[in-house]
Amino acid sequence: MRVPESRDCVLVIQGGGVYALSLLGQARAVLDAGYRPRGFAGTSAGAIVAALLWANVSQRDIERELLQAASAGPDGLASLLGTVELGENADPVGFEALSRLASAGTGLLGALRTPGHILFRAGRAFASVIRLWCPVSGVIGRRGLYHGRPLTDLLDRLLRLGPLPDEIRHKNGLLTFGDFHAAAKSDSQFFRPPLFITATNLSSRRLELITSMDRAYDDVPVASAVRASASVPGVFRPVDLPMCGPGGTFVDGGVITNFPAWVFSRGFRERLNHSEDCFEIAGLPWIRVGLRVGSAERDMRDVRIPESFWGSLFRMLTGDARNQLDSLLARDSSRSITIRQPEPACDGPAHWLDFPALGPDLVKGMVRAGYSFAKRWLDLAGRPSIMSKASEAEIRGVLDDLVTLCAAALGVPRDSVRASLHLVDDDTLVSACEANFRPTDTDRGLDMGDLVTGLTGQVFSSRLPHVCNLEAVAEHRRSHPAADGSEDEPLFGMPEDMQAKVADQPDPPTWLAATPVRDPTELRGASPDESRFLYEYPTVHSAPLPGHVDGPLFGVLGVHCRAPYGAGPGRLGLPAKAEEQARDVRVKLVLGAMNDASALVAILLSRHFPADEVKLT
Amino acid sequence: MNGAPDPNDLRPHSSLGMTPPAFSSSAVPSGGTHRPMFPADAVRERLRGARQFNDRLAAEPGSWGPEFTGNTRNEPPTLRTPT
Repeated sequence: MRVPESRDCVLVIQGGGVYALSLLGQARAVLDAGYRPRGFAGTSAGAIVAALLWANVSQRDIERELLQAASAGPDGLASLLGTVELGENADPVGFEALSRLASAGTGLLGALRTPGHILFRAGRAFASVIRLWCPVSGVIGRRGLYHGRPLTDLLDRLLRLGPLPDEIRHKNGLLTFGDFHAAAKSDSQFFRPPLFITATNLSSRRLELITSMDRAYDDVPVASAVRASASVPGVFRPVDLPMCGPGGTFVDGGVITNFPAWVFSRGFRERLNHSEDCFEIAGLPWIRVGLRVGSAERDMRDVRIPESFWGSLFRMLTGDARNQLDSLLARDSSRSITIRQPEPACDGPAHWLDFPALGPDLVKGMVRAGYSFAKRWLDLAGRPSIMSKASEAEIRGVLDDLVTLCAAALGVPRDSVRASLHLVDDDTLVSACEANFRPTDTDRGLDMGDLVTGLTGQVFSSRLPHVCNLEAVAEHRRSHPAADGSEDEPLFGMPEDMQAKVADQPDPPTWLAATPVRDPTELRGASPDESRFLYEYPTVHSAPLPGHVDGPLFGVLGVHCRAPYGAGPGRLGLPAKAEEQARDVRVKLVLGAMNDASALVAILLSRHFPADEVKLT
Repeated sequence: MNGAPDPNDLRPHSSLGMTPPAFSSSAVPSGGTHRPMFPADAVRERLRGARQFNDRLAAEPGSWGPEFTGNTRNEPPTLRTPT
């Protein structure tokens, strides 16, 4: 038996200021461990990392640009924040006040490092900031300290380094989601999976989920959306994105959700199903991989002491409560793993906004520490894959039993029935297990090569059970030999040599029923109006049956019969037309047994997935 | 007739579970063409694009990547036992 080590995933990256570097290192380790993202979501610093991965920017390009920015001046990556602009009518003393303002700001950051005295020190520092800030009226009017244009420019420069047609790569102005969409439309080599960026619309006081999936965001510059997601209130000025709707003034997405794991919930599947650009990945199973910084543990505080009381309250109101809710929502997701790196293990500055400390050495060190931490986490967890090999013997038994049941239901000798299990491996369906095949069968271990070929591919891509009269298909093949230049798709998309393996063998199968093996963690009711891949064949050959449940698939279970059609002992006794076969009571019994077996197989494949929470020693 | 089902008729009396879905290919006459509802090549092409995307993402890990062997300040994490 062959269970593929499939590690398709959706990647969720939390916000965290300077810890973007740790998260970048973590992401690299996840990719090096063989995880293949089918979607990205991020907030703030996480949005930066998610967007760069989504744009397919090479690690070397990211490293080079980051190191250049960190080496540009004495203040490290603080150069990306930009300057405090005073405007044309600025008070001339404002320039001198700026350095004092910066000192006060640093004092504020320093105060935040000491939780025990946080309120007192923050209050004092805030007072000094206000005292210095007030004369600089232009700054107050701008609703934040830094304009952050260097960060936007750096992001846009990096986004252009991913695969893009030249005319888009060199276009004027910031690259928009529409540009990336146009690139994907022009050539599949520019395909990108969905990206979600959170931002807080301060005008409407709502969360905005800016996504590459929704054409409504086509005019939104990707770098601006990321910059909006990272607009830490007060530190960065808000970003105006009028194309996102009325108002459209955005601050950090982390104001509402700092770890948006909930993005990849059931609603995402439904959006994929209705997406004309990527509906084919809606049926793929995945692991939810979360990248985080910060310990989940909380120290106990004696809040009878006023300082502790106000300190705890301040922390809850400024993010702790939101973080806990994010964690609870993430934990509710099935098949998820969360890598959570404690701050002391990040090798970074003490405070998450201490950008001036990020010189080249610290930048490197933080990325490395993130990589190292995530690699160890994944090694320790055994690099979890979607399906487990641990139940192979039990699955073989399920298929053997299924053969016996189906032979009895059809009223044919057991020797004339066999079963096969194909499982998804990246973008192919591979033969994982077979029961009652004969050594002389030429279609043993037949891989499908992709997700749409053969009745197996048809079932996988449509997510519907099918029955198929293989005798009629073989007859059709004989009477319609493949002709050069024919516009017709080969039968079930199968190349001639693959068809020959099935049909040109001694005692070939005459009938086939195939049913989806559904991911048991994401079952839901079926909706008839979703996009499905479906070959359009004469119903004498094959017919789909309704699927009352839907969801992503692990693979396809098949039952093949070799008995000849017609009435009499040892014969199949089914009508010739597949559409009529689908109404036959015996076929219904067979499909019932197959549904039962496929559910059991799916549970056996998925039951060894590890717990999603990590407790750090 | 009182509408009761004939006990000798083994055909299902409810269409539940037995009616092909609305997008069934029943309207296509036998011997017709074999074009899928969605061009299979277009689907394959996009899946190929998705594979290329991930191949590129997995390639070229960069100078800070796999050769980095460890950070002694990181305590090894332990997995919580599933409950």
